[in-house]
Amino acid sequence: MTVHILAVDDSSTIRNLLDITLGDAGYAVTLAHDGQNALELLADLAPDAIISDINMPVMDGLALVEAVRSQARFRTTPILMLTTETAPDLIARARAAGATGWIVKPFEPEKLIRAVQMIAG
Amino acid sequence: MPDPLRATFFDECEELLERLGVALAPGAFAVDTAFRAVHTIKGGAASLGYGDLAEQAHQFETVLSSFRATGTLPDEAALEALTRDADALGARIEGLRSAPRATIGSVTGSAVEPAAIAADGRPVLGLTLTPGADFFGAGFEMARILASLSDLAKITVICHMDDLPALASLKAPDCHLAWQVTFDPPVAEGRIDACLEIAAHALLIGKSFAPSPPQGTAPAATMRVEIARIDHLLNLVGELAIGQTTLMQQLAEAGLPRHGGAVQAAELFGRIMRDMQDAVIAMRSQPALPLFRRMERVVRETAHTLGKVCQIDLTGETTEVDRLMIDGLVEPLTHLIRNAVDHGIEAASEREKRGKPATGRISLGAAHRAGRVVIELADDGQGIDPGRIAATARARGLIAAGSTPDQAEALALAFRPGFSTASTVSGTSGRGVGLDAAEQAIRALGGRISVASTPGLGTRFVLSLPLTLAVLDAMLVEAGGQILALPLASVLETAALYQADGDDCPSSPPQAHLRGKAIDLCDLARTLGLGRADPAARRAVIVLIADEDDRHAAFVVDHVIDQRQVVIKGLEDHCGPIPGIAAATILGDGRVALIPDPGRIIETAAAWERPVFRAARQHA
Repeated sequence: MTVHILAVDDSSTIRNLLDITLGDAGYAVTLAHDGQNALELLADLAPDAIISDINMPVMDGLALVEAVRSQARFRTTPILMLTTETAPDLIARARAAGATGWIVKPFEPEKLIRAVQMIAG
Repeated sequence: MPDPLRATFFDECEELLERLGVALAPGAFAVDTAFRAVHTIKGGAASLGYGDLAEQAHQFETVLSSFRATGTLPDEAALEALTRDADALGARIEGLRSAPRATIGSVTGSAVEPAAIAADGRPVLGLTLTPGADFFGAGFEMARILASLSDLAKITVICHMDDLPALASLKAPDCHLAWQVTFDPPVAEGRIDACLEIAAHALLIGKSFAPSPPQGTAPAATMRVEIARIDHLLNLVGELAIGQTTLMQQLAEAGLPRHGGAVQAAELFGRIMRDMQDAVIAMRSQPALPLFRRMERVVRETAHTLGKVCQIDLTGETTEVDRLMIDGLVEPLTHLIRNAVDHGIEAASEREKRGKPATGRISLGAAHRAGRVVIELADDGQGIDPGRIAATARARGLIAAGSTPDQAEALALAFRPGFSTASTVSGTSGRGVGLDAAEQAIRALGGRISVASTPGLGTRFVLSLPLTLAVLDAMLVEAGGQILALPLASVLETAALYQADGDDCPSSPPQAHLRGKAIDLCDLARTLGLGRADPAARRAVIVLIADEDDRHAAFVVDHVIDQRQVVIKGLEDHCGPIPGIAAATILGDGRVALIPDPGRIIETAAAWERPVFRAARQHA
């Protein structure tokens, strides 16, 4: 069974990198360019996990986490934050909003895969 | 690096540089747009291994963020400078784009955690995983975590359901289960940490480490023996030891030659008997592991109740400890650990505010040191605040209103009976008992407890206990007409005492000079209330004593008799606790000798150092 990941980042470079890294590891990947876009895609998607940037235009990652968690069907969907931010209060806010884990950019592909494996299989 | 990735990056950069140019145009300065463009370039560059470009973008970003933070508009010169920075960024990007492929760095970013590269660490035998309150809410599933762990080694998993409440009180998002994972073969700590890293904040992780040199493959065959039988055997061996000593004395008194056959045979008998004693004591000993496992559970339950996140690390769990000691340690250790989780470890949010890892760490270790069992319990919590202790002590009238104890004095106050600084009474840290209760329990085992604490960084308790409650290597001395058995492990050296001429000046306490160092003298007979030493027999000897905290004192005794192994006979059942006396023993001739507790006596002597006595001391 293919594990399906929704990856959200405003940078096309990062989107591309995630697409290649996750795709090579055998995951099915859907890409979104900001929180709003991700929510639109989620209307017709049921990913096994979501990986999202924080700092994005239109709708940022924290707002996305809150919006996703408020929907009953995504209440336990793992959400990894992939960001350059390391401020403890931001991490705490993300956690309070319901984020599953935190990975700092630039990321090591193996580490990302390991984390995704742990949360999504 | 795959070419499409590179191409996407440079295409994106081109677009972002264009956006940046517009945002920096005179009269249309848009700092947010500019900042985001540079930030995105930085992120992409770092991810593709263009470290220099990422650094340049980072510096530019810092400049822009100052405008962003203050909301000021750049003047003409500043705007020109920003445009120059943007051009420089563009130039570097162009340089990278046209550079031959070979000079491009690796895809792997710089974010490799040091833990992943560094030595893999000690081998971990097993893990206890207890989900925190938000485990399921954060989207974790234990099955996936166990699956990831099973990639490291063959694992055996036991699910603990002891804490599962009745169905009626079961709340859906809470996890009441704990999992125990055993690795075969053991897995290096670093690999486990790397594997669990993403979930570490939502789990209480307990580790047990494999003994450093892996032990033999097949477990030794065992059989169960009633403890009372072993204790009876030990008692008999003790009596045998007394008999052997008596025999040696009789042989000497009979005037038999020291190297003659009878004495030699009796000595051999003595040696075998001592080996036998060691063997029986070894039977009574158990590794600390079951005790530690129990404490692991205490951490888990306490953390769960309080909604805190912490992990416990165990070391020295193979250290052999007398079985009676293990039983006696359960209560004080439980109390200290609950204290550590409740009052020591801060809430995760508080810890992060202080720049500490969100997961609190408690370490519990056992080791044999200086002929004693030393158990250390440390946490990386907020430490003991001397100010708060002093305030409470003043409020309770334990110290004078104006006095300000230092750290050491404050810690000593925390052990005073009935002292508890918990600002709210919590059901967690025990039934309203303070550190004094724990100390009392340790004392009852012939042990001592000391504490060191650094506010903000943590607290460390050190419990020092006798190796066994059964026998003791002792130095027999005579003081005040009594024979005393001093624990040999505490004796540093002995020396003859000469009274200096005309030295009648009563220093308090009196001091001796040993190799240029002044040492406080403690008249053992007087301290223990045995009456004064016979003044006629002023061939006084001092025995230099150190306890396991390395505090020194010199005991004045009449003379040293010899060294031997003595069987410890408890006194508490018959006489209750006696200050300064740990136990007693029976000598070869049937006489009773008391076994002093040097640490306790040193402490009493050190009372001169305490603030209450300070004024009196200055007069002396």
